[in-house]
Amino acid sequence: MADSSVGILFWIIAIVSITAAISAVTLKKAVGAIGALAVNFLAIAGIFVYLDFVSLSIFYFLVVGGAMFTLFFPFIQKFDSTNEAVSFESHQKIGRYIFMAILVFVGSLYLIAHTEVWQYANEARLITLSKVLDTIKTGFEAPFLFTITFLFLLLLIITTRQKPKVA
Amino acid sequence: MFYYLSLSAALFAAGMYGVFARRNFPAKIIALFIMLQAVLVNLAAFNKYVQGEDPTGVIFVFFILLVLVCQVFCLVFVFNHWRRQSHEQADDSLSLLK
Repeated sequence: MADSSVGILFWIIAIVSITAAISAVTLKKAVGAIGALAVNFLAIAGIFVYLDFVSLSIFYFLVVGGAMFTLFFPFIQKFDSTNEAVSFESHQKIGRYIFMAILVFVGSLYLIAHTEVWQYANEARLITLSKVLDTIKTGFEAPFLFTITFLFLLLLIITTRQKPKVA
Repeated sequence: MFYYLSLSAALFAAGMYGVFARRNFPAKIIALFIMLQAVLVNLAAFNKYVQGEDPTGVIFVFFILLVLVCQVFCLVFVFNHWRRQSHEQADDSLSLLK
């Protein structure tokens, strides 16, 4: 199912959108969460442009941008980032796990899209590990696979690393 | 379309987590906002891949956005009213203390 209409730009927008949404939900500071929501909002406007609904995207940008600003401006004004009373509860650990789950999900989607696994599943043919490995070998080049694996491991280490406690 | 639906599902799941896990009211509003965005993406994707030239889904999105604006103004009005009331109560208690 290598859909040619879905390009690399879609993946960038989608990953930015999902990451910003997760950040908006998990960030501790109110101002940071609102900033992440703004990034998510821009990414969704980009998705609308990608779907060829340019007028909808402009309307969305103006209306939702204005509504967000009207709704959250008092919070931004009132809640200073150093004010502890307005900090959201910390859900950093859960946020990390969700981030990793999203990474695995997006990675597997990408893998399915660029191999013949989807076709095997569609035609109810038997899928074996060797067939999957063959399709990966033919669908991807070695440097690309190496880079993706390296980036994935780097992100895994960064997101699951525990911060040392200061005495 | 599969990709758009997957993106929408992921956004909706993140928003739902926020709605259930957070106790702070602004955080709940942000999570609801993310869920609404997921619904809008779903509608637009269905309109493009199922309806074709017929813009029913996009018109739905326009109306949902208009309703959203009305809701935001209602929320701002309620917030202002609530803040004014709480300030008045604080003033009353201060004058009683005097």
